[in-house]
Amino acid sequence: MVETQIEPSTQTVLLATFFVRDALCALDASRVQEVIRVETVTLVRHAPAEVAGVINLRGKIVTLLDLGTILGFGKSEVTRESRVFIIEDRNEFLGVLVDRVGEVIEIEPGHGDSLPVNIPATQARFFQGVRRAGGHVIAILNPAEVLNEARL
Amino acid sequence: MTSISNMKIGKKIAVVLGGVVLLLAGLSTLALWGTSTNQKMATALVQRLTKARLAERIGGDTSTVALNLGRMIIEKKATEEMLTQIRDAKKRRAADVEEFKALADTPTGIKHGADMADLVQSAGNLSQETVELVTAGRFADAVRNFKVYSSMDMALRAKTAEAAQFQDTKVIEVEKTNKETSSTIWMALILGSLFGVAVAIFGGVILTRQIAAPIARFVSHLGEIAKGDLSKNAPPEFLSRGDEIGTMANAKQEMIDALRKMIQEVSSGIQVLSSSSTELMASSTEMTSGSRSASDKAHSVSAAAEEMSSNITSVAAGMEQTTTNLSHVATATEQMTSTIGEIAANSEKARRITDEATRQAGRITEQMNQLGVAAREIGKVTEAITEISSQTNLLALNATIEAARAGSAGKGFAVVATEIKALAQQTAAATEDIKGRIAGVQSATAGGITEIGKISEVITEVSAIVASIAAAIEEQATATKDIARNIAEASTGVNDANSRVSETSQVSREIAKDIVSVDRSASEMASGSDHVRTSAGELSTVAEALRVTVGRFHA
Repeated sequence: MVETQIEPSTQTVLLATFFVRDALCALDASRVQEVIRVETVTLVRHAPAEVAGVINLRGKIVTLLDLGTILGFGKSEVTRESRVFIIEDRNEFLGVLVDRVGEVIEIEPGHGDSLPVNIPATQARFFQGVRRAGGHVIAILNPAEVLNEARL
Repeated sequence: MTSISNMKIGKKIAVVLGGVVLLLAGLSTLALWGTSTNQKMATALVQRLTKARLAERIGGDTSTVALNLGRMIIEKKATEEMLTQIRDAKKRRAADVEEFKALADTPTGIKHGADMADLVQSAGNLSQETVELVTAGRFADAVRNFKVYSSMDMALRAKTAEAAQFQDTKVIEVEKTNKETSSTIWMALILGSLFGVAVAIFGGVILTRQIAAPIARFVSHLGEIAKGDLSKNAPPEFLSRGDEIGTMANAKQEMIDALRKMIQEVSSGIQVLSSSSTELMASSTEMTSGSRSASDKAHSVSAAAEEMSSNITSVAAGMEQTTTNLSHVATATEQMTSTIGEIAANSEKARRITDEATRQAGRITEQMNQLGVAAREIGKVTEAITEISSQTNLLALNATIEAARAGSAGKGFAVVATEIKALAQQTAAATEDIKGRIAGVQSATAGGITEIGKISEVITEVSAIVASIAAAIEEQATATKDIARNIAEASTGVNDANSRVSETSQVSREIAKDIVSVDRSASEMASGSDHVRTSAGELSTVAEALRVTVGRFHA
C-alpha cells in the first residue's frame, strides 16, 4: 500500500481508487463527498439499467448508479465489500456503486497517460486517462460522463 | 317227447313201473273180485246146497217121524226108541227149519221156509198129539191123526222137495252165472295181461331208448375217449335234456373240454420240458467246463495267496516303522500345542493393548475436535476484527476525502485522517496476522486430526490383524487338537492294522486251505454236472415218451 501525502497545495491530486470487477479505477477525491457502505437499496421500476435504485442517506434520497452496468460489465452484485461513492453534481447527490474500495493515492497532475487506442469509443468517454502507480494501472474515471448516464 | 326226455330216469322208471303196477293192481283187483265173486258164488252154492239138504233132511226127519209114528201105531206102543227117534228127529227138524229160515235169502226161499215152518209146526203138533194118543192108547185117534199126519207129511215132503228143487235150480243158475262171470273175468284177465305185457314192452322200449341207449352211446363214446379220440363232443340232443342223461351228457362234455384243455397244457408243458431239458444239458456241459476253469483259477489264486503272504510280512514291518513315526509326531504336536498356547496369550495381550490405544486415539481425536471447534470460534472473532478493520478503512477513506475537500483548512483533520489510516492499516495487518495464525492453528489441528485418524486406522488395522492372529491361533489350536486326536486315531488305526495284518496272514493260510477244498468242490461239481447231463438226457427221453402218450389223444 502506498502511503499518501496529504498536501493539496503542492498541486497533487488525490485519487480515490476502487475496483469494478477486476478493473482498478479511480475518481478525483475532491469530487467525492463520502464513501459509505451499501444498505438497503430500493429498486425503481422502469428505471434504466444503469440505475441500481435509490438509497436513503441520512434522510436524503440519493439515486444509485451501477458503475458496472455503465462500464458495460453488466449488473453489479451487491456484496459486503460493495461501497457507494457519493458525488456531488450540480447541487445534486448521486451514488456510484463499486465492488471494492482501494486507497486514496496522490499523484502528480499531468503525468497521466492517455488511454490505449483499442478501447471502444463508447467506453472511452467514461475515462479521463490511465495512470501507473505503485505497479498498478489505474483508469481514472470522468465523473461528468458517468453522471450523464443518469440523465439519459 | 321232450317232456319225457326231461323227466328224471327215476321218474321215468317210476312212470313205467307205476303204469305196470297200476295195471297189475287192476288185474289183481279184477282177479280178487273174480275170486270173491267165485267165493260168494261158492258160498251161495253151499248155502243153496245146504238149504236143499236141509230141506231134504227136514223131509227125511218128517219121514222118520212118520215112520216111527206108523210103527207106533202098528205096534200100538210107543217105545222109548221110537220116542227118542221122534224126539231127535223133531229136534233136528226144528233146528233145520230154523237154519233154513235163517239162510233163506230170496223171497221164494223165505216163503218156502215159512211154509215149511208152519207145516213142521203143524206136523209137530200133530205128531205130538199122535204120540200122546198112542201113549194114551187111543189108537184109533192115533190112526186118524196119523193119516192126517201122513198127508201133512206128504205135503211137507212135497214142500221140502219144492224147496230143494228151488234151491237146486238156483244152484244151477248160480253155476251158470258163475261160469259166465268166470269166463268174463278170464277174458278180462287175459286182455288185461296182454295189455299189461304190451305196456311193459312199450315202457321197456321207451326206457331202453331213454336210458339204456344213451348210456350205451355214452359208454361207447367213453371207450373212444379212452382210446384217445377227443374229437367228438356229446350229442346236443342229450345235452339239452333235463334228466340224468342230460346231466351225464353235460358232465361228459365238461370232462371232454377239461381233458382237451389238459392235453393242450400237458402238450405245451412237455414242449417246455423238452426244451428245458435240452437247455439243461447245454447248461450242464457249460457247468462242467466252468468248473474246470474254476479249478484252474483256484490254482492261480493259491499262487496269489502265497505272494500276498510275503507282502503282508513286509507290510507288518512298515507298520512298525509307522508306529514309531506316529509317536514322534505326537510329541511334536504336544510342543506345538504349548507354543500355540503362548502365542494365544500374547495375542490376547496385544488385542487388549490395541483396544486401549484405539480408545486413546479416540480421546485425542475428541480433543482435537474440540480444538478445531475453538479455532473456528476464534475465526468468528477474526471476522469481527476484519469488520472493524474495513470500518476503520472506510473511516480513513472518508476522512482523507474530507481533508482533501477541505483543502488548507483541513490540515489538522488531515493529521487525524492519517492516524486513522495508520490505525486501519495496523488493524488490517493484525487481522491478517491473526487470520494467518488461526489458519495455521486450524490447519495444524486438521493435520493433527488427520494424523490421529491415520493412527486410529493403523491401530484398527493392527487390532484387526491381532484379532485375525487370535482367530488363526484358535484355528491352529483346534487344528492341533485335531492333529493330536488324529494321531491318537492313527495310532489306534495302526494297532488295528497290525492286528488285521496278523489276521490277514491267518486268513491267507486259510485261503490256501479253502483253495484246496474249492478245487475238490470244482471236480465234484464237474461230476455232478455230468450226472445232471445224464438226467437231462433221461428227462428228454421221458418228455419224448410223454409226447407220444399225449399224442394218442387228439382233439
